[in-house]
Amino acid sequence: MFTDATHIRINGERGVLYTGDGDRLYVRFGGSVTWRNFNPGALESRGGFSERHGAINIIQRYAVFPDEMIGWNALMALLVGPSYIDLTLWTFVRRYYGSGPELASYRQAVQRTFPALNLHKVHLRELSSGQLSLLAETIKTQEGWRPGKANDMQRVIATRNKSKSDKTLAHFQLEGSGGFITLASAISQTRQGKIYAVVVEASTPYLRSFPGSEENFDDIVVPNPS
Amino acid sequence: MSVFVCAIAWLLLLCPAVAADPTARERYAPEPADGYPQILQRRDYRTITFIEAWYKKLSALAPARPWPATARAEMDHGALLIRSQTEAQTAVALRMEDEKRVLLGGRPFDDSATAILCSTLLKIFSDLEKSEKCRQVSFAQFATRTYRRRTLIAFDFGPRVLEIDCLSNGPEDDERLYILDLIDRSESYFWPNGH
Repeated sequence: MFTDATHIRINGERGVLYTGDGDRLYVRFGGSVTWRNFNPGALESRGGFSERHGAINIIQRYAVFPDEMIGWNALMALLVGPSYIDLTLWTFVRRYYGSGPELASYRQAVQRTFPALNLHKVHLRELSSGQLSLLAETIKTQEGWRPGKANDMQRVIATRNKSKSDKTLAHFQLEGSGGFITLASAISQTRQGKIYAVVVEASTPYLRSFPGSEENFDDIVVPNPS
Repeated sequence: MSVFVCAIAWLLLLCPAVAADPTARERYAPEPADGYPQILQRRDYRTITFIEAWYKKLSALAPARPWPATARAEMDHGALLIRSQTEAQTAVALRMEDEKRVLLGGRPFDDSATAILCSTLLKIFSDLEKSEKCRQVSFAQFATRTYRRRTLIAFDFGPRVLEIDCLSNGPEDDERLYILDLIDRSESYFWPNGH
């Protein structure tokens, strides 16, 4: 299970890098905040609730959970917790989303989920577990669970210079692969979030290691085959 | 039993739409290699401005209640016409003036990403309309906890829904995206249970 998450940019897009599950480097980028953070309820860090329910970080106000089930369980725990359980569905919507003209849309969405229920009269504690799941699903849909791209990133484990005289890093070996790939291929894969590296957009783009990562690509140069 | 088997075969042959999405994405995505699970996902703000301007025009066609607002949609001489349900004379036209310019009513949008969104939308709409009329278009805009504005415009083609979903926090915040996708009715925002 992932134990840490950090904000990352892949080709200019916002992403979340998940680490701490062995050597895995898993990234989600693009898509909506809730999808990237495994946080279907868009839970924030209020009073440590999210952390107590498994959040591994807070990025731009919103909790990041290590997987979808833990994020889902946190949302369910919120619905049955003391802040909401005694509210009517009508009041719940206002407490959950705050005030504003959009409340009507949320109430419509909740009413559509429970067409037979009077939102003014039914309290959350009166809902069955199945109905609470439906309410959580409504929240997830309302927040906009929109997938982007997800990849396991590969680390660069060795590099080669262009030649003995030209120290440009021109070939890259990835963890778990036998041979070296060219700079062009490495740049393309890095832009797709498949390699744990940064593309430096210069007149001639090049690759460098992530700021803060242990390996500097210049330190893992191996000799070119003769 | 044979009637049942025939009925299933008929459904599989005549209603490929029900499970068509990977094919549809492959067919219509302007950049299939970009790796998104939707036909189109981008985040340039100019196109978001266009989608929100379009929504504003549509919302003038229909009352917000009962929610969601709805209107009629059809292709007319290469333009996508969206008409009021009650006043047939009132319509909003969307068309490509040329490859790079979109006209929303009389307002031009010259951005290439907006042109790609609209040309893809018009192509899919036209193709869908060959086999089934668009039943209605539904649209809504509201805030979420994570986005200041979420704008949805969805075209109901029975088993399939052509949906635009636009999530934005304004021009200063690049936490935003928009999506165009052709999805199963049960996956849609407005008809989530296939209703």
